[in-house]
Amino acid sequence: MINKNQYELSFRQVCLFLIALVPVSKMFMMPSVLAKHSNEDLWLSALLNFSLDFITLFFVVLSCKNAKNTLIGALEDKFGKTKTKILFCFYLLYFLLKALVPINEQKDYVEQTLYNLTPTILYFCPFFLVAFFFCLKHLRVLGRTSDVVWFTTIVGILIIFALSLGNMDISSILPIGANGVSNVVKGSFSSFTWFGDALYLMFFIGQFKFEEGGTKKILLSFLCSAVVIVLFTIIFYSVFTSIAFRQKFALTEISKYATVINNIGRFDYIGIMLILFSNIFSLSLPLYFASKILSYVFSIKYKWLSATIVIGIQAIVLIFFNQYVYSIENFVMNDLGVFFLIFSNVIPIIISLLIKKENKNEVAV
Amino acid sequence: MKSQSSKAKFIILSIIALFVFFFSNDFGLIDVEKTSIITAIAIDKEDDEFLVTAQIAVPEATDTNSENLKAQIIGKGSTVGGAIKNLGDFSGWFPKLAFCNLILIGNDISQNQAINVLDYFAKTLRVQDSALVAIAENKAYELLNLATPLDNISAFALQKIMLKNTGFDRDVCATDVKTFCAGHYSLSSSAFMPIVKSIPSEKDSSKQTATSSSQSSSASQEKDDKNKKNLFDASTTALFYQGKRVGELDSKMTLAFNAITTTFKGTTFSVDNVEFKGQLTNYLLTVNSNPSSITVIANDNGITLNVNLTLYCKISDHSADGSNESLSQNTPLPFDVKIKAENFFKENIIKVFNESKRSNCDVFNIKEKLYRFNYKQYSKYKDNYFPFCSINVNVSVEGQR
Repeated sequence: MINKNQYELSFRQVCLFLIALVPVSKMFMMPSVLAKHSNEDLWLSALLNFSLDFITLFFVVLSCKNAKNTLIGALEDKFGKTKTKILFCFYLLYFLLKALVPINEQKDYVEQTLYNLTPTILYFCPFFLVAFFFCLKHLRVLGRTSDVVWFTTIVGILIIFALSLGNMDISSILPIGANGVSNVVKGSFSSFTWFGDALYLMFFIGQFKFEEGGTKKILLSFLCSAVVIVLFTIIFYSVFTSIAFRQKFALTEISKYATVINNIGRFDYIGIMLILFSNIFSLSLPLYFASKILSYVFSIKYKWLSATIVIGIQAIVLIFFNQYVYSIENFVMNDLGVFFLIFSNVIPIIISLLIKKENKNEVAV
Repeated sequence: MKSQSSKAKFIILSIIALFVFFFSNDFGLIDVEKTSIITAIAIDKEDDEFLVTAQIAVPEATDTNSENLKAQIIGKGSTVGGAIKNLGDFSGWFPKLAFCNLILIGNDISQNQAINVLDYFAKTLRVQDSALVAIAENKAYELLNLATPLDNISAFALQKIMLKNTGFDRDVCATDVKTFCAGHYSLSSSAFMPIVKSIPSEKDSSKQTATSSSQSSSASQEKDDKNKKNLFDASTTALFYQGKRVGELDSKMTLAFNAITTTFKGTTFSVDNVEFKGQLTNYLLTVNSNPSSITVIANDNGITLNVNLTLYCKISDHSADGSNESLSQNTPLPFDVKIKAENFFKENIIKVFNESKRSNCDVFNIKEKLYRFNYKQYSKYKDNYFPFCSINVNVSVEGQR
């Protein structure tokens, strides 16, 4: 049972979490990956993924209502400790795999757009240090981060959008659906690694006090992020049309054709930097949950140990398996779709329904 | 309490320091003295190798020199990327391309290999793909070598000609790397870019520019100072289909094409030989706005390209004795002027269409429009659409009423 005086997060922070950290990691490589498969229908692929997450979130939010226990508590009550730990082993693997492509993408982004030469790997160490610090903290660090980072996310997005809109050819997304369902689904499938955000909310069950009308507020917050990203993919394709799939890093590319940028210089980097700042925390999320799960599954008492293991695994892959990035990306994007779908959407819905049923039973008793 | 506050301060300061490291490029810094800031690149082909000539702006720490100084270096390679790398290997300067705003292609390369050259710039993140592209009428490096009274760095002078601000004539079909490549990879596989020609200026205007006191000028610079006799013209446009140069729009066709595809405000054009009080006179009109539309309607009988253009103009000048017309007068357009202006644009838009049809370069994006707005008919016409295509042009030139 949870102690209602010791909620880790406030309701406001949960909503801000969805606005501040959900959209940013999808603004780098994901749009070009979608364009590769579904061309001008890339936004439909994004919409499909958001719809899946929206449905998942709906069930998760319902289970958050009247939650009497945290996620771990509820699962242990229902299935016992061993089964819960086995399930969480899979989630440990899920978060470690989920972090791979976006973190490598961030590394490539900084390396290729902010540096002239290929720099030493040291330049990326600060990210791991921040992520390590993040992993040491309680869940409330996510809430506090969201309280700050929502501002940088929104300002960054506004700057990028404002500079990009003038170069759009909105008719380039027509005809809608001409690429066929299979290509749209293929695009959606290959981008699961950037989605599955409703899952984070599952770990917030019992960690915050549910407000009146809370379902609507949380879903609306998520909807804001979804609309921003769907719009972003539309703008991206409308700016680049037939060569969109070749523009690996959408964020750097879409705003630079504005007349004002040609005259004054690349001040769009202010917006880009703000989004990069938010993205550091967004990318740390899977690492954070992986380290917490590791502590729980193997009953590790020292937070620094589980954080070191999780960050160490990512750092090793990034540094020593740098020659295999192509294969890793291919594997995560093309072969893990079903795995991501099951653990981001199917299992959270099932768990949420079980918890909701439990909550109902307890209320009835 | 005190130790907790020091700990918090330490953590905050560490995080700030880490972010500074992260974003400041400290780990990838190149010595500024070993960096060359490339302002323009000319690409030619010689003995099956790409010849890349880079025009470099040389910053000078002096307050007595008012002119930009330049240097030019040449690199060779089997690919454009290789030739650019070669520039650095020969000179010891790291070629920094972030400020390269102009890419010139030699006439010989433009015939078949323009896309092979420009693709490199569209793919790499180290060059701006918003850089302007143009074809030199001969060798591209010759154009960079030319001296002009407009600017000591010819690339800057060329950019002024190609990318004009509102208020200047839109007589150039300015294209950047991204637009060219997007056109090439579009369904119609068509693209265009301006051809830059040098025009000898009649008078030597070198005396009008400030003289350089620099002792470090290159040999070419000294030559330039003696012979600043060239201006540039980029009002003709080369057409490309499937990466090959297939046609050309002359300056009148380019002007008419710009009228229907770009913001034309501030552009002037003359209407000559209009009868006024029994004598033939010339009018100069300035365009205030140019609402236009290009639509494609396809049915079983064929494809119709509808081009609608309305030019709201004012009379800027009238070469007649006793005329009072000027921009400040708000005078209505004489009927003959309106008709002649309408005919000029109509004829030239039709000429553009005919050239497009002849060369297969789909400058009107008919195939894209067919795909986007007439998808049901797309499969019927996608492989061969020009023979079924006709044009319907409506031009209206309006003045003060």
